[in-house]
Amino acid sequence: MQSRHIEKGLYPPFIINALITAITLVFLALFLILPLVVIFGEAFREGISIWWGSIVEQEALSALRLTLLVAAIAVPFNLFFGIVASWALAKFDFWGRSFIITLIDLPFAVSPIVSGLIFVLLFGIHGWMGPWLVKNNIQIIFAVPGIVLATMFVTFPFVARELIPLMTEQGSEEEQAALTLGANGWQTFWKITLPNIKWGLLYGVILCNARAMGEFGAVSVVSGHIRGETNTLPLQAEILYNEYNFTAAFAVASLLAFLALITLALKFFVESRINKLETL
Amino acid sequence: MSISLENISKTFNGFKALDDINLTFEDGKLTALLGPSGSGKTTLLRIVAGLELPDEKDNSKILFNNEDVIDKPVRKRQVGFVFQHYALFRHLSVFDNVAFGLEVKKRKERLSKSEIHEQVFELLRIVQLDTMADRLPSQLSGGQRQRVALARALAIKPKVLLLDEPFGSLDAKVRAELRRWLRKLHDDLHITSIFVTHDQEEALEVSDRIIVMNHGRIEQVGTPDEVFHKPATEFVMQFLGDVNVFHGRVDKNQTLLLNNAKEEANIKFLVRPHDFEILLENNNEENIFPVKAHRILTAGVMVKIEFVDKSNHLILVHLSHDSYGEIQLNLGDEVFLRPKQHHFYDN
Repeated sequence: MQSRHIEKGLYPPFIINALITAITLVFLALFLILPLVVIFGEAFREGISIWWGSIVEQEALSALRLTLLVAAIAVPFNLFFGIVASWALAKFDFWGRSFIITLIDLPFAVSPIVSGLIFVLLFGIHGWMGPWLVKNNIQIIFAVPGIVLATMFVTFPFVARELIPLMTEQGSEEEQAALTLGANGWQTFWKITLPNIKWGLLYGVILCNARAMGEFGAVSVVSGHIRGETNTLPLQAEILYNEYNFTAAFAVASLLAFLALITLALKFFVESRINKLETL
Repeated sequence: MSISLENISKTFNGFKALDDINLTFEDGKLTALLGPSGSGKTTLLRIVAGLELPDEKDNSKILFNNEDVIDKPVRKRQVGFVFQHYALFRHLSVFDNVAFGLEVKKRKERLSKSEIHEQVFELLRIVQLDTMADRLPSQLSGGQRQRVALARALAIKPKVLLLDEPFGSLDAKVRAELRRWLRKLHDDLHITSIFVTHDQEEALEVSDRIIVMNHGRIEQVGTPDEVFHKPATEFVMQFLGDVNVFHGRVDKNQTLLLNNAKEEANIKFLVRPHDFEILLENNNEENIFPVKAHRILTAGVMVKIEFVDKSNHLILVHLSHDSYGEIQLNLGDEVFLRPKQHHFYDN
C-alpha cells in the first residue's frame, strides 16, 4: 500500500506522460527527421543517375577531397594537442589553470564568422602578417592553409572538453603506481593513461571530425570560394543552391548528411561501450 | 634495508606539513606511522617513496642503507607502494596488474614470458588470488583488490614496502582479517615495511614499532608497549585511547594534590578508563574522587560507566563484567574512584 502511494507521487499520470512523449516525438520528427528526409528526397528527386552525376562532377569531387583533407589534418592535430592540453590541465595544478580551461572553450563561445575574421586579420593581405607573407610568397587566406587553420581553431575544444573531466576524475594515482613499479613516463602514458581515456578520446575525435567536415562559417570567411580549389562540401552546397541548382546542391548536402549519419552510428557505438565500462 | 631521514621538511603553500624530521626505520621491521589526519604521516611516506619531494635544504638526506636517494626518481628507488584506494590499473586483469612491474623492465633485465608467468602466480598464491588471475579489478571485493595491490607491489622485489592507510577503506571485519594477514606476511618475508594509519588499534596490533606524529612533528617513537604504557606526551596518551583529564598541583613537597580548579593547577593528570578502582567507602586516602554513577553500558566486552563528580565533570570508567558483578553498582549510587595508574604532564 505504502509503496503504491510513493509511486503515485513519483511518476506523472498516464495522460501527462503520453503528452510529454508525444511533444518530444513531434518535435524530433519536425526538426530532425523531416529535414533529413527532405535532403535525401530532393537529392534523389531526379533519379539516382543524376544524383551520382552531381557527386562525381569535378567541382563536387574536389570539394569532397578538400573536406577530407582538411579533416585529415585538423583532427589528428586536435587529437594530439587535445591530449597534451588535457593531461597538463587535469593532472597538474598550477596558477591560471581554471583560466586556461575557460580559454579552451573560446572557439565555442565566439561566432564562427569571428573566428574566420581573426585569421583574415592575421594573415590577410592587409593583416598583421600580410606584408611578410606576400614578400615570402606564402598564401594562407583564400587558400587551403587558411581553411585548415580556421577548422583547427573551431574544432579545438572537442577532444580537450571530453578528456579534461575524465582525466580529472581518474586522478593520477594509477600513473603514480606505474612509476613506483619502475615504468618510465613514456610507458606510463602508453600503458596506463591512454588505455584509460581511449573511449572518451574516440568520442571526442568523432565529434571533432563531424564538425571539421561540416564547418561553414569560419571556413566561408577564409576560403574565398574559388571553385574546384577552396570550396569544401558545405561551401559547395551553398554555391550550388544560390545558383538555383537545387538537385546538385541537395546531392552534395546528402553526402554531408550521410557522413553525419556514419558519425552518429559511431558515436552511438562508442557511447554504449562507455556506458558498459562504467556499469562494470 | 634500513631507512634514515635527516632534516626533512615539507611546506605546502606556506603550510608546514613536515617540520624537520629526523628518523630511522630499522631493517626488517614493520613500523607504523600513526597520527590524526593532517599530521604529515602520508606526506612522510610519499617522500620516502619519491612521490613527493621534500623542501630543498642542503642537509636533507634520505638514506637507503647509507645511500642517499634524495635525487633518485621514484621509478629507480625500487619501493613497493600500496595506495589507500588501491590504484589498480582498471583496464588490466589481476594477472597483468601484478605482472606490470616485471614487464616494464628494460629488455636485458626483463624475464622471459614463462618466468614472469611463474612469478606472478607465485605471488597470487601468496595473496590467495591465484584463481582470480583473469578478473578485472572492478570484479573484485575491496579486500581482494588490496591484496592484488600488495602482490603488485611485491612483484618488483622491493627493498622496502610502503603502505598508505592500506585498510582505510575496508569494512571492520575484512580489516581485522587483513591486519593479521599482513602481520603474518611480514613475518614470512621480513621486508622493511612502513605503514600509515590513523587507527591506533591497528598500529598497536600489527607493528613492531610505532612513530606517533602530530602537526608535522614526531611525538614519540617506540614499541607498541612503550607508546601505550609510557606515552611521552599528553598528545600520545590522548591519541592512543580514551583518557580522563584532571587538573592538579604538585606542591613543594612533591605531593600531588588534585582539585579541579584549573587556575591553580600546574599539571594535567591523565587516567585511562580501565585504570580506576571503585571504592564503596571513603578510606581517607589522598586523591580519591567522590562520584555518582550517571550512566551504565553493559553491552560490550567491557562495562562502560560514566560517573559525574561534584562539579559535574564526566569521568569514564571501564570495568570487566566480573568486577562489575562484584560491586553491584546501580544508577545514582555514590562511590569513590581511586586511580591505579596515571600519567601527568605539565599544564
